[in-house]
Amino acid sequence: MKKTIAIIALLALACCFAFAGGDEEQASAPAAASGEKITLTVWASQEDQAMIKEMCNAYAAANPGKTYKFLYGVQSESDAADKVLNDPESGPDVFAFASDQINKLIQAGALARVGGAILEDIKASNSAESIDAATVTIGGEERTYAFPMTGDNTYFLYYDSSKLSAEDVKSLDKMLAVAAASGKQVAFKLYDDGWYLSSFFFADPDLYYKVTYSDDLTESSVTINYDSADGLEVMKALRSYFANPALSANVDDSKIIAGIQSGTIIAAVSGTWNKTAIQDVWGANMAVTVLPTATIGGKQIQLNGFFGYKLIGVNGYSQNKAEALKLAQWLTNEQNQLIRFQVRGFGPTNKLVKENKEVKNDSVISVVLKQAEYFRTQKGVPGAYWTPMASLTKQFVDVDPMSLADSDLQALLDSLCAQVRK
Amino acid sequence: MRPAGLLYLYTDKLMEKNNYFLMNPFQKFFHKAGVAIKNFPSAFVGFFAMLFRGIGRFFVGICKGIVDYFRGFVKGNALTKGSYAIMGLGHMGRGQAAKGFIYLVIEVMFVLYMVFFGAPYLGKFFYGFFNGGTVGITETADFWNDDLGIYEKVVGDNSFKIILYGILTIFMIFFFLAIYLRSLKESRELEVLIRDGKKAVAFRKEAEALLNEKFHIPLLSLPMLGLFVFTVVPLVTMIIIAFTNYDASKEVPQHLFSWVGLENFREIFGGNGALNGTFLRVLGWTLVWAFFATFTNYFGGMIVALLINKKGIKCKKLFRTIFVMTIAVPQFVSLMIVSKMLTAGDSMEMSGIITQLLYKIFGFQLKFGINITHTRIAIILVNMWIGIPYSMLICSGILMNIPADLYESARIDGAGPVKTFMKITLPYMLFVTGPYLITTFIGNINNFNVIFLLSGGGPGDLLKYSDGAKGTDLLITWLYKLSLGIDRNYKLASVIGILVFIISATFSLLVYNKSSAVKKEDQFQ
Repeated sequence: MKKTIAIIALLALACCFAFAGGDEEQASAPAAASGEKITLTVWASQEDQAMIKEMCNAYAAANPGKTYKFLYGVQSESDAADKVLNDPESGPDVFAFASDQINKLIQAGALARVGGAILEDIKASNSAESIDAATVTIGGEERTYAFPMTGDNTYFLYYDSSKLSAEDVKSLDKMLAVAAASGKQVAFKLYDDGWYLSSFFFADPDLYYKVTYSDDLTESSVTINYDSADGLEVMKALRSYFANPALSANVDDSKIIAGIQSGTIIAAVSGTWNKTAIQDVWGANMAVTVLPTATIGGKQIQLNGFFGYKLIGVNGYSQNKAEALKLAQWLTNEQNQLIRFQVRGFGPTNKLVKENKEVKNDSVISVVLKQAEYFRTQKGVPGAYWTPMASLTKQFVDVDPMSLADSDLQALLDSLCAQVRK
Repeated sequence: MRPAGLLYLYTDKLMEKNNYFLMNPFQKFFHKAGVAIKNFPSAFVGFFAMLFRGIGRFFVGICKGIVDYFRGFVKGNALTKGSYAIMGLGHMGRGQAAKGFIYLVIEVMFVLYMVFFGAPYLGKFFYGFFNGGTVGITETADFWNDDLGIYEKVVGDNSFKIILYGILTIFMIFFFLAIYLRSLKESRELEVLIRDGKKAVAFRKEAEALLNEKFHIPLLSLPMLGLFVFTVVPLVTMIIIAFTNYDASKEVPQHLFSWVGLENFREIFGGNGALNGTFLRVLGWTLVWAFFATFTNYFGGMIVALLINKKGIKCKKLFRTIFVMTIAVPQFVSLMIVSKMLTAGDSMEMSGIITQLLYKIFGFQLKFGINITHTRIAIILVNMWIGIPYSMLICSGILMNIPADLYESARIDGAGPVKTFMKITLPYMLFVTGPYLITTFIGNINNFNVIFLLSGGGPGDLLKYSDGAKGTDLLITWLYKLSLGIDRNYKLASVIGILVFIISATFSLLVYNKSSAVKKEDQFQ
């Protein structure tokens, strides 16, 4: 009897293994075309699902000679690169990703290089900066690996026009003074976030980092001069801003929205993703403008920032590369970029869409496009930049900023540069 | 005349022996710790002596095997000699046709496996092994296809697969070798058997034996296979990665990675000063955390269990249920919520509810996620809240098992509650839960959930940490960031994984063998 039970248990175990194995196989089976039918897997974010389905169906309708089968995956653009990198060979055929991830994707062979007539078409129809974000130099040759989809991955200033005038928001000092007078705050995530914090360092054109890549896109050398005298001036400016109780630096998206709802925050530096949430509270009083100026080294300097794009890439291991490239081209063409703007409010990269009257009248997108002209494209950032940058201002929140001597600030900058340099 | 405290331990050896039973538990603890430290060198030497003796025996065994192998060939008759080349020949020629056939099939399958699968991978595995070259030979290349107007890819060698299948093949060779040697041994034994005029055992009988006296073989073979496929091979593969330069820039199959020997270990222990300091800081906090997380939960759970078990407490089941409720909520949900409750904003309105309460009641400003010490203490406290119900459950079960007459006689002898706890409850508990404590300690070294969900490893400190590590990162969360972050630093993650393994294994082996549960196994009532 015992033996029978043991054998049954064994068989059950065997079945478990068999099932486990079966799942694995299914998951890793490539989406291959069978006969005339072309199967393409497309990844898009949850919010874009309905839109992307319509776009793909429109593509199928525009190509009556072929039958398409589209498989859709839900994956936000910020995670897409990570997920594709886990196993590029079984990844989607077409996927959207943030432009700063392009180097890693190319290194993994997860992006198909774009060439020929398709490349000429996207080069002609999109802004030079957006093409640049999808292009890398390998062996002295410019190679384009993706299709520009949207260009609005940046931050700008939202403010409550009933509390602040258009004149007030030109300078950070003025804004903070107005906010302090009424016991309110201005939110600017300068704590624990290198992306926003860089806006202060970028304000000084003499401060830079520079990465030289070898042919396999590894960083062969990284130079950075944030530890110079100019960098110290920026840190000093940050120290006095952190000491100002009207500046709320230790915030995140949910805290900003909560602060706006409770009325404590009257202006916030944030991006397009928060537009609806902010508009819900401020309504017609919501106004948008470019980043203000700040006092650095005794002078008023215009803050500068990162400008990123969202790109559509075709998997380098796709079984249907030719078809996938055509679909990607379609998904980023003039017609679909306009749909993206109309449905989701995304900033276009297509030259014709940028000149569209509707786009030009949009308060948020017009500010984004204005900043695109002088912001730094988020490309060629040292890999080791983000973590130390996020920790740079930690001391300002942990202890009283004014208790930190200039030498302490210099030590922080020295450590930052030592970690970033290569 | 008795000197107090620690000093007392080291004064008089005679006294030490005689007075051991007069010491209070703390003195006993320090006494034991002192003895353990004093004995450490000899224990250390003893361990390695044992290790080397074991290795020595292993090699002697191999030598003997080789001698047997050749002696068997020289002494054996034609059938035995033949089975050196064709497995199972000796069986088939001596009335064990079925068994011999099975051996032959195994040999043919092994040869086919090696020719079509094993040998190519093994060749590429060893191709660059000795001169620090690449794993694999041909690299993936893109070329322009003018007909389609696209760039196409010719996929080259996959370094990772070469490592994986290379290791699999090495294991396969060892397995085959074991079967091969066994078949030869059997063949020689058969030869002797036939010579003595006996008959070989029928195949049917041997097969039946597998269901009777050798039932453990079919029963355990599947779990062993599972263990091998799902644990041993991946584990060895990950260990091997530590000796390569596999990271984001060498992502397979687009690129080939290379053998670099001990370069990655050197990076952590020597070369780069920042990485070295970071590693030691992370390791230090990992051990501190594991110590506090284990013992706060253990003693906290014991105290709660004692309180609930006390006579005269009403609604015992209700209290127990209330404590166990924290287990019913998935840990990641409660941790996420608690981390929101602890956050520190720029103003109190933007802070979490616990931070606000602490400020309003005690005037204490909790800087969770800003100040490293605050964050560490908060994490340990939150972990108590999560962990105590578990240890309470375990402890109350054991407490109910302690014979009541022990307490009764202690009470008659005039022992107070503290004394009974120290002399009866605690020794009993430690005896039963010793191994549990060790597994909990190891579990806490690798406690990913609590740290990652509460603080995400933060806050960072630019002056003390580098390479993505932050103030409350454990080795395991750092490993996660390294291997799954955008840098995909598999090589460094693998090194850290090996180090975590060594730390956990050494610690658990040492403590487990020292624990009373093992030493006095036979004395359990």
